[in-house]
Amino acid sequence: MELILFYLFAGVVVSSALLVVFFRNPLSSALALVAALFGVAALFVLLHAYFLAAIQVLVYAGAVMVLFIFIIMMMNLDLTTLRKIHYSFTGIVGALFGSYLAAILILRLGYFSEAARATPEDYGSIASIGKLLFTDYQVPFEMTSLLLLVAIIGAVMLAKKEAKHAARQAP
Amino acid sequence: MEKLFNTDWNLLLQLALPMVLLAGLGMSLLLCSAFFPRDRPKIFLGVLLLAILGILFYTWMQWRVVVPLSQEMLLFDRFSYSLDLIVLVTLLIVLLLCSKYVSAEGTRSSEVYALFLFAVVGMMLIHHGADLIVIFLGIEIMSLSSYILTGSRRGIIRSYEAAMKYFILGSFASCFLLYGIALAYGVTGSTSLASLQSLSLAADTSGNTVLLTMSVAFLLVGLGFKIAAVPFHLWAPDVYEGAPTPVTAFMAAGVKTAAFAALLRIVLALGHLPQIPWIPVLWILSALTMTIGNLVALRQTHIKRLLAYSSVAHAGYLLVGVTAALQNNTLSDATLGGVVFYLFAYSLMTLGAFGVVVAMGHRGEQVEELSDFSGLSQRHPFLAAALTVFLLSMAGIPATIGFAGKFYLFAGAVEAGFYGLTILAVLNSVISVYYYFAPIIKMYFQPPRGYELPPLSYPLLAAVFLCLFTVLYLGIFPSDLFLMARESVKELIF
Repeated sequence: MELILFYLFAGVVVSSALLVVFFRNPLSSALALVAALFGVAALFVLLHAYFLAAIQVLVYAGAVMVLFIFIIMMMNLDLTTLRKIHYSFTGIVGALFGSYLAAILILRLGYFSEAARATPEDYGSIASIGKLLFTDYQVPFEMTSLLLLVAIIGAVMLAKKEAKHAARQAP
Repeated sequence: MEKLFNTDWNLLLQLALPMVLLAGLGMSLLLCSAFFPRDRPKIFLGVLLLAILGILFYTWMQWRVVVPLSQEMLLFDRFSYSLDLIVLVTLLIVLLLCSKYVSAEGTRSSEVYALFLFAVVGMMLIHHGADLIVIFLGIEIMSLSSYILTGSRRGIIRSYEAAMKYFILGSFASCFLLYGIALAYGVTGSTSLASLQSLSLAADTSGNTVLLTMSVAFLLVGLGFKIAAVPFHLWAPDVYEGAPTPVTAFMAAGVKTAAFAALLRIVLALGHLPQIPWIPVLWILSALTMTIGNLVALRQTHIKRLLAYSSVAHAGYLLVGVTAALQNNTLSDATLGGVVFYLFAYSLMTLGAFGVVVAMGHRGEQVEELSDFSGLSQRHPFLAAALTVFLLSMAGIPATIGFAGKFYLFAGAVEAGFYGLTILAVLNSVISVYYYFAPIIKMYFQPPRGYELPPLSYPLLAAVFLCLFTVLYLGIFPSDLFLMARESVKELIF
């Protein structure tokens, strides 16, 4: 059962990752990337890493992807120029490094053993991470909330409309 | 149920009360402005000043009674409290300076005040951080607040440009810092300073020395950016020029003090490792920083850029002290005390000088070119005299706090045997006299340009006067403060 699910989700990841590259429309690519990230999250669940799975969905599939899509929409890309295939220098370098990475991954695949998975039962579980966050790492945790508060104030302060200020200053 | 904490929360609250109070004050300010739509900068300022005076007093009492203690990733010793005092004084003066600016430029005063408060909380957390995570988060809180404050001058492109530049370069520096922390974690398996301090690489065969050297290099790059040491200083003049002047004063004094606190803690925690070439690296860094800072300052005609390069040079002098303090792996309290003293002196005179620049432009126009200072002695004698004192103090002329600070700093360096570096530092001070005198000559020996300056607002006057008084008083009687600085560094814990 687990094996079937693994192959199912691995298939989803690989096929949607390929679609990211082969789609011409950047928006479709981004949506395919969302699917790939969801597939990776499902793989994490199969490995009993529930916290990582949740974070994967929340941060990558949620926040980061929304940012991507926002930017793609704001840039308002011209699709006709994108349809042409360029053989640029960066493309060649990228292909070289990509195939290098693929070669390493394939050659190294046989070296992984079961021993590497010998971790305690509750390692990385939501409960143990939560406990750590609210005991040992409590001060940094609270500091992070202050950091986020500062970021929110800053976003509101810098993004406010100028006209409002002109109106307030006028009388 | 098992016990989750071994923490004495009452004690922790007592020790960390200044930070908690400041954070609470900032949040209640924001709430106030949400419930009462009318902006009341004067009432806010009054309440804040009173509260900060109270916190200052409380911190001072804590400094007197504290027994060094490390708990919950925070540590409390005299060193951290004395740096807290410096940033609190900075906050007090900056709030006085920006009273005009918050009401004039269409920004809500509560937001600006709250960001200043949060930045100071971040700085205090850096001083009290017993763990690299806490120090990093403190630096981030401080930096994020200053990025936003830099861009808070509405409708002025230079301000936005400076904020963007500062943000991108600052984030990049933070990445370096984080990378360094990650590598240190890889070596020790812990991010606490105590574990770094007890680290020994005597018989290392597993390549940990290489990892740790890389980690230190990354940490130095990240922190070097925050203190604006050459060659990581290029952001400083542009950001100092574009930011609103009170914010510039805050960055030059407060942010630099806090970044030096982080640098000192990390350097002293790792200073005992003979594998890392601390002395040559810091020697070169300080020599470069003061020489290039001073030489480039010679050619500046914009007062804020001039002060920016001079603050780069001052970071170089401070690094001389850090280098000397590290010598022989022993903590010499006179040398390190000199660094703390100089941080205080530097903050005061920088705040004063920027305060005069704020006062010059307090009718809204940009009065920041050196030529705008022509004949200031006739247009506003008090401001001219004050700026003269601050500039003389920065140059290190006797009877000012700058002279006392340089004296203690260089005495420590001579004691540690750094004759070459000390000679270089003194030569640099001589060079700096040239550009510090340029505005003074303009103010006193050139005909006045423009109208007579109207009377200053009381908060501005109070801020400049406070700086002037302390610079002169502590310049003539520096020994008490130096004694305090020495006491501060006697019992450092990690």
